Amino acid sequence: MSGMTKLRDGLSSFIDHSPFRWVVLALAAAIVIATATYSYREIESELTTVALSRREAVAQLMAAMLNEKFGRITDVANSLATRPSFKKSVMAGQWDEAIELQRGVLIDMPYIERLFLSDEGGTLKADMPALPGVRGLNFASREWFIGVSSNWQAYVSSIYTRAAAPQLNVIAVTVPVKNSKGQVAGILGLQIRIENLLEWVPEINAGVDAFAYIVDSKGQMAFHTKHRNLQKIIDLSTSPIVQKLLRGEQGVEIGFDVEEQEESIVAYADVPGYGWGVVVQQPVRSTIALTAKDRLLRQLLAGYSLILLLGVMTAILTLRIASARQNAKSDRSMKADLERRVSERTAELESANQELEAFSYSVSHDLRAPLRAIDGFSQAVIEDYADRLDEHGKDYLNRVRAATQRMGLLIDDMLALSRVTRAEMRHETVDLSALAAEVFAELQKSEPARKVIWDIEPGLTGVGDERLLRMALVNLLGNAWKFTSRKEQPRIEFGATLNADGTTEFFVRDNGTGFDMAYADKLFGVFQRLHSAAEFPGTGVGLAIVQRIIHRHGGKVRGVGIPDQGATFYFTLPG
Amino acid sequence: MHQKIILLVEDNPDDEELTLRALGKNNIMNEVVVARDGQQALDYFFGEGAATRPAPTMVLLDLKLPKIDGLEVLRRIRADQRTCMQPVVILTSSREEQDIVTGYRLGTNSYIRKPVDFDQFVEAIRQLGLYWLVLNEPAPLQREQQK
Repeated sequence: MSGMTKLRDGLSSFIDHSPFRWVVLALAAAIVIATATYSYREIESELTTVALSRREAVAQLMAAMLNEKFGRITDVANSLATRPSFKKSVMAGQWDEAIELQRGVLIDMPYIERLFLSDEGGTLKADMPALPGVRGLNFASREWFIGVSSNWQAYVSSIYTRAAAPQLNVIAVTVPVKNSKGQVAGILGLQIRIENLLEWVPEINAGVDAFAYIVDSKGQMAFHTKHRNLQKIIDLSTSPIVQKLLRGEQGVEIGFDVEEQEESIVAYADVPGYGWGVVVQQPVRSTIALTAKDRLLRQLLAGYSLILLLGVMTAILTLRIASARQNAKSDRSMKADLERRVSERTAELESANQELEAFSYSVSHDLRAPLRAIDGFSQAVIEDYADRLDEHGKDYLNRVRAATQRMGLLIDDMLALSRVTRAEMRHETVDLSALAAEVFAELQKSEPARKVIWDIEPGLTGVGDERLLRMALVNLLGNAWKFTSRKEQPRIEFGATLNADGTTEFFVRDNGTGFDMAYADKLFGVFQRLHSAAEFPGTGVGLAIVQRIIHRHGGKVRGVGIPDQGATFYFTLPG
Repeated sequence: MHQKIILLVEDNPDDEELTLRALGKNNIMNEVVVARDGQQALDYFFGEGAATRPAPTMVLLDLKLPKIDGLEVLRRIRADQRTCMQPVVILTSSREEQDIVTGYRLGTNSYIRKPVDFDQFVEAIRQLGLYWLVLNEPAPLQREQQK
């Protein structure tokens, strides 16, 4: 036996017999489901990370750029503030000259909207382009002053709306103007329009349907890619994301955007040193990576479902095959058992049949021999000793002879009956109409003088043993023939009727002596007679033979009679 | 010319008597040799001194016999070259189909069922005697040819 066969046999015997087979199958299914769940989770988090990190990178890029911008502006402001001639003019209190020295800056750097100059106390001394009515005002409460004066370092303010017309949203970058000893002589401010500062932002492609906005150090929205030219400054400091930015955090998350009413990826990055922040937001539905992720996960799920389905189907199939095999096995054993019992029964029947045959043979042979002797020697006495016998004696001997002859007939009929039981059956289509016609011809030949009207329905056929069916018809038609012998216009009919249940019932009908239905149950008994032998000859076996023949064909037989009007015998042949 | 002998193979003394009586009533006066079982019947043909005994013109053979039954007797008669053409009439109580078929298959010349009615029996014997002893021309027997 090869290894494979051994394995297969072992497996199949396990499937066939082990009580643990369900446990093993459940375990296998659980493993598949667990693997599917694990890889689903893994792949989902992987893909989510990919999708998120892209947004995060964009946010960080923007924050870095903003950082660089602020750095540059601060550098510019510092270099302007340290120009020697400028410092000298400021220290000399020549504010107008000082600001005039910087005129070129507004031309070279157009993003700088305005320059202003204050003393170290925050009182505005000069500005360019000059705005009416601001010179001499003290701005010590302004953020730009507080910011720069806190440590006398360059300061980038949060966004604010310029007091003077046009009321633009601006930021101020303020730097101290120091003398050689490091003493502060004044403050130089650069006012920058926020649109100019952030003109590069819309050029950054954050993705389909994505938008970005920038918040300042107070949590005010400085710029929004979807809402350009904001006139009003919007305070976002209560937004959770902005609060995180104000705390100097950066990161990415998926959350529900109340304004947009949908799931979004939100990436945020702060601009270190300036307290500003960048937020990049994209609806989940538009995220290519996430859409792809969903598709991928759907495919994965479908794949695992398919595997699971196949597994389950295989398991079901295997179990069904196993149970079918089991059934087949028990069927086989049942069949074998049945066959054994049938053959036993057949053997019993055969032996019973053989006994019956031996018995019949013995009856036929041995019972008749003494009868013949009784009859023969009675006759011999009558012939040889006639002179010594009176009429009484001769009468008695004749009665002895009549009785023996009748017994001979009875024996013959009994043998005929037992032959019906023993005869081997053949199943063939039998032309019953033709059989009936033949039987009629024989009857007519036996008594040529009788005039009987015959009505045989043509074309009637049945399935059965022709010899036995002929015997049945001989008895039925013979009875009809016999019991119509006293009628003036005897009539015998052979035909068939179709019953309500679809079965065909053949019948033999006569208008003869008939019988009382009260005795119908005795009709088919052996040696049962409803008429005296003196009226009609017979042994009372004929209908018993008919019944036995019809029963052997699986059919039913019944008789219907009315005294002095006739009898009808019906029989069926299920075939 | 040899006398026409009838060999009656019959174990039942009643039947023997009735057969003899029926023969007598029909004025058949031929010699009747009675064999009372199958062995005796075979001895007539093949036993000691068989060669000196004349072949029967007619054998009346019962079937149910002690020792060797009638059908076996018939089979052996037909199997032997000397007796294979011997006229044999089965005369029996049996009307079993099997007996009739086997009898003819083994080559019986006739199969007569003994009627219970003695009058019919007498008539049957009369016809048999007339046919086999008078009308029928027997085959020249082998044994006689050899002589």
